[in-house]
Amino acid sequence: MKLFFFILIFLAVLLTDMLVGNVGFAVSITACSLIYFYGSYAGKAVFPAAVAAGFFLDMCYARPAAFSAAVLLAAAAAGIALLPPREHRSMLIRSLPAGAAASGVFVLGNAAAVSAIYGKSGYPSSIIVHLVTAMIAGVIFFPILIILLDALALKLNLPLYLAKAGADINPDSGRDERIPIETATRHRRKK
Amino acid sequence: MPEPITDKKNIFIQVAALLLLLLLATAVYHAIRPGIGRLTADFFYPYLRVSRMAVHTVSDRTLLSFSRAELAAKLEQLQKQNTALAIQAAASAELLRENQTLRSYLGLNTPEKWHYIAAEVMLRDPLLWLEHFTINRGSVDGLEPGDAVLDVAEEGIPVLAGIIGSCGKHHAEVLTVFNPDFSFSASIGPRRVIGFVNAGTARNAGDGRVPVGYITSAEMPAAGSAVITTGFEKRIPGGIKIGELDQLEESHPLFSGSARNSGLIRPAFNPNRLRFVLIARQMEKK
Repeated sequence: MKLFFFILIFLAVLLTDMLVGNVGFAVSITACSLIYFYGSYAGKAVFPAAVAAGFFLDMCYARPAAFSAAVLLAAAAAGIALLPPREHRSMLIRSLPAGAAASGVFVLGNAAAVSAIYGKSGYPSSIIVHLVTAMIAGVIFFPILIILLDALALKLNLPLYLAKAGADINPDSGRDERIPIETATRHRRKK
Repeated sequence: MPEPITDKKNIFIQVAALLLLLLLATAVYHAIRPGIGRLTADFFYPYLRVSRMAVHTVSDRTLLSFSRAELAAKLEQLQKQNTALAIQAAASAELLRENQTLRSYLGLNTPEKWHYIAAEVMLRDPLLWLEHFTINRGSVDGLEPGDAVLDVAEEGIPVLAGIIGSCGKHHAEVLTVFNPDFSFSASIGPRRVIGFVNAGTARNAGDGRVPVGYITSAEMPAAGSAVITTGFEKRIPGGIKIGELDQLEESHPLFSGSARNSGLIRPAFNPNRLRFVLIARQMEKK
């Protein structure tokens, strides 16, 4: 069920990227979904998935060179590096830097790759404008993606990305690894 | 407790395996791209088609929001346009008959006839927006790689958009005139000076202009000259507008040793308002 959910959501996200790309926006919803799956249950399996998704995109677009795999890999790695620790993941706001980082690296990686092939950035106007726009889009869309996918995962009884305070963070482990309520509420106490 | 050295070794092996996978896949990409590319594009074709159908449905429904008076006015306007186009078509048919009659008197071959297949743009690459796009017609509709793809400019004049690069069953990739991999001959100005688009020493300006090269230095066309297709390429009709000559490299006729010149063309094809295209197919001679 986990694998089926992963593949289905992945294909849907790739299709969404292509549909949004039809109007001229190169978005990184795929990179954000990779971060989601890393944070929920897939772990390091998202890295080969990033390579496969990148090649799939390049082949659909019939691009002359396969650069999306490396770009998606870098974007996912950048986002995963900024993921909050599991016990802090009950707060959605702590995941925003991961979305922004993934989107930013996605734009820079694409610009570098297209520039190497065609001598231009691939973006019609200043790269700074696209970088800032993409990072803002990542900050907005990543939490929405988390909420949507967690709602689906909850219906399918799959591990969630957002760990609730007091909930078992690793239901498959067989051990009682609950998030201490004191850790989750420490932030509220500081206020 | 696992030893730190073993952990580091595992991470190193995993990263190395991932990089090797990436390198291997990049190496075989060019080999597998033609076949697997058609398969993957055909895989998403039904879903992309559904999205276009949804857009068309919404567009059709918005017509219902117009009042009867507005719809009647639009209908009248379209009828007038149709009448004007029918008159033009009748005049063109008369000219064609006269041309064929005169050719028969002089013993000249009749010009090649073309028929046109309409297609809708299905997929655009957001990163290579100018260089290529995908249409919803493929080999089942009779398309072949190398067929000319035409767009219609605002004035109603057909302009060259590109050629079919590769075909799947239900889709085809179009290489546009902005793509450096698409080189073709062009006729420049009233004296029909021959040049080759996307060839020569001029670099792609990247600002909506494409290079043209191998223009004979002895005959220098002026900036602003019309650029049209020559008809030398078997699958590209002659006389189709490409654009205008925007800039020519300056070379002194006495002190420059170069026999050829280069310049920049501003294509008439506008990729930002692209929705439908026409693919020109040569009619088979009986």
